[in-house]
Amino acid sequence: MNTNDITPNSLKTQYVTPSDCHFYQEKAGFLGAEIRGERHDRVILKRALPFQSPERYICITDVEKNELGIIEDVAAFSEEQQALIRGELSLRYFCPVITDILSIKEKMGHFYFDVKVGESKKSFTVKDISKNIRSHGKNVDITDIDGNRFRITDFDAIGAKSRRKLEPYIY
Amino acid sequence: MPSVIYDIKVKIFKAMQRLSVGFYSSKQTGSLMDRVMRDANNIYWFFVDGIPGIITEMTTVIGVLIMMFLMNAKLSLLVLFLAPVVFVLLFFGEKLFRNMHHKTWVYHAKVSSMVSDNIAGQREIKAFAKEDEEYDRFSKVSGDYKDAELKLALTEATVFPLAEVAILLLTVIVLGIGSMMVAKGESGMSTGTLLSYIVYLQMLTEPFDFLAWVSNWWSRCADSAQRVFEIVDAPAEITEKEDAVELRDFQGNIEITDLDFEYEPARPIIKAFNLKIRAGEMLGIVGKTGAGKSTIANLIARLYDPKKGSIRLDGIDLRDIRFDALRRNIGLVSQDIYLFMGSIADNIRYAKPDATMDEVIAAAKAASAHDFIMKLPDAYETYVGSGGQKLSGGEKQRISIARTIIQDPKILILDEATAAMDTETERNIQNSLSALKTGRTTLAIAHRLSTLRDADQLAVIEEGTLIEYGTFAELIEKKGAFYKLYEIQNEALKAAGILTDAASAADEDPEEE
Repeated sequence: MNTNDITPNSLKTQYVTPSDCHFYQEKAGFLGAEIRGERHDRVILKRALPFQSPERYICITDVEKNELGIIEDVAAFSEEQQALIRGELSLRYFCPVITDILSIKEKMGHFYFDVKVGESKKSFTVKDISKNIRSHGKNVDITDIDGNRFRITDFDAIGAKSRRKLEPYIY
Repeated sequence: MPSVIYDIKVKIFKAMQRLSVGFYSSKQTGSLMDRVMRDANNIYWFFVDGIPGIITEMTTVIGVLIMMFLMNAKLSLLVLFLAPVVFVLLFFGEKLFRNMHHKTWVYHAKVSSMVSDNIAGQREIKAFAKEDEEYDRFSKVSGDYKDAELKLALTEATVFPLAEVAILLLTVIVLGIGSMMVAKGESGMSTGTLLSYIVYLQMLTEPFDFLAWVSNWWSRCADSAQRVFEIVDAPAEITEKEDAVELRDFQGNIEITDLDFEYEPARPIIKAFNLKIRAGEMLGIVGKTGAGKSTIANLIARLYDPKKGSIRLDGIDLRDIRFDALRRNIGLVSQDIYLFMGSIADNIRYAKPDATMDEVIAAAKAASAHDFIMKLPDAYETYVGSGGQKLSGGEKQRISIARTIIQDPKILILDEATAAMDTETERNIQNSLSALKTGRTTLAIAHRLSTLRDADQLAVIEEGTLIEYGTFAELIEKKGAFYKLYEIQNEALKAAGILTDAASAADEDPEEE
């Protein structure tokens, strides 16, 4: 099936390509884009598949959240453009990376994590672990009680001790 | 051995998938869950622990009896004479335990059903402030379950020691008779032989004790097996004929002839129903609640079979069409939405697992779902379903519409598809659906009559019978049942300030628009 064929024009997926979309950094540091000849001094990038394909299907919207187009694959853009896109995405999807799990303690349905993020120690609390600890391939994402997200980028690469501590809680 | 339990569970689950929708509406969730999980385990443990135990213990019994016969045949015959008593006890014990296990299971299933019912109905419970009543109801059922378990445990604790007592009594009898034989100086019977004989007799205690337990296990296993086979052997109400045909060059013509249907005997829902829908046409079905509108949709999707009459697609009886061809060509967007545990993308591509992300996004856009999906932190990878992200009724419905759009069916059934949406979203989806209807036969069921304005024909159903048929304008002009319904709705909308007199007048004369 090609749903694009039966969908009204207004609802068709508008993919942008390097030929009709150019990103730039405007003076205040925001990411802007010229899309099909129209200039937007501030655009927001959002991943449609943040875990599975972080570099594909990136949705571009203006500040009013109107969709301006979708980047099918970041790799299709020039190096300089890729850097701008990745820079914006890294800000939106900033996520501290856990390098070591020091302890996980359970008390009254709350899980108290003591972890190492780089060289510094960090403590946070997770509730409802089946919902807030998710694994995607080698990545494990943990969302704490305040909605902050932490990531283990390669579950196999963290130490065996850390793995053993977290394994029972990965559903 | 763990593969045994896997096989049983998979077999029950597979059998459940084969069964028709009617089966599920007549069973409690808890009882079905118990069959998959608890009954499968009961059967497993009997075969894993029970059967090997029986072999070991029976070997011990035979070996011990041979030794006892070799030592003293007379005394051994006496022991064998008492053996049938033990078997009679085991036989009645098995019957007794089976009844008790069944009772325990029934209460356990009730408790499971009540928990799942309570979880699903939490909103209603809170809204009606029924927490205490629900607690009382649960306490009662849970109390019954506890009583049944206690009774079972008490009976087990009473009956099993009886087997040991029987062996002890036998030992006393054998010791008495043996002592007399030693005193009389019977040949081959010395004090040493008698003591050795008693030791052998004592070795029978454990096997008999075990046999008593096995009879209990067996009764539990047999009770579970009966329920498992009830599902595995249950004939599916909706079956595929061996010579069922594929739908080639399917156009989407639907013809319903003399259709009768009832969910329960003697309670007809659809009566002598006749209807023709040409390929590519949109038919709107209207009628009061309980008129049988959704039943017509369910029958066209072959979720049920008619009691009498037939439904034909391009001239082929539904019952002669292969299931996969039918499911591929009929898309159903129902008022009861169910999202499976998984990501939004997985739910959209449920009907077409190999759909590309382009198709998923296109379908979501067509269903006006893309914008709200992209607002979620994990976008298309947001977890939904049980334990996942909370979505509103309208959001869930839009995902279910996207799911049907990606299926790309020739016949589209919209059963109150936009009922849970606000007017603006409904209009957006109506626009999308209008485009989607091109080249498809569409059957739209709606209470809001204005949403059926685009329908080529309208069918008005009352108590399972077709009472009016025609275009929107024809039915308004006829001033019959449809007109009445339309008037009632307009009055209600006017009273709510949604519709003005002018708009109402324009509506009544759609030809002039």
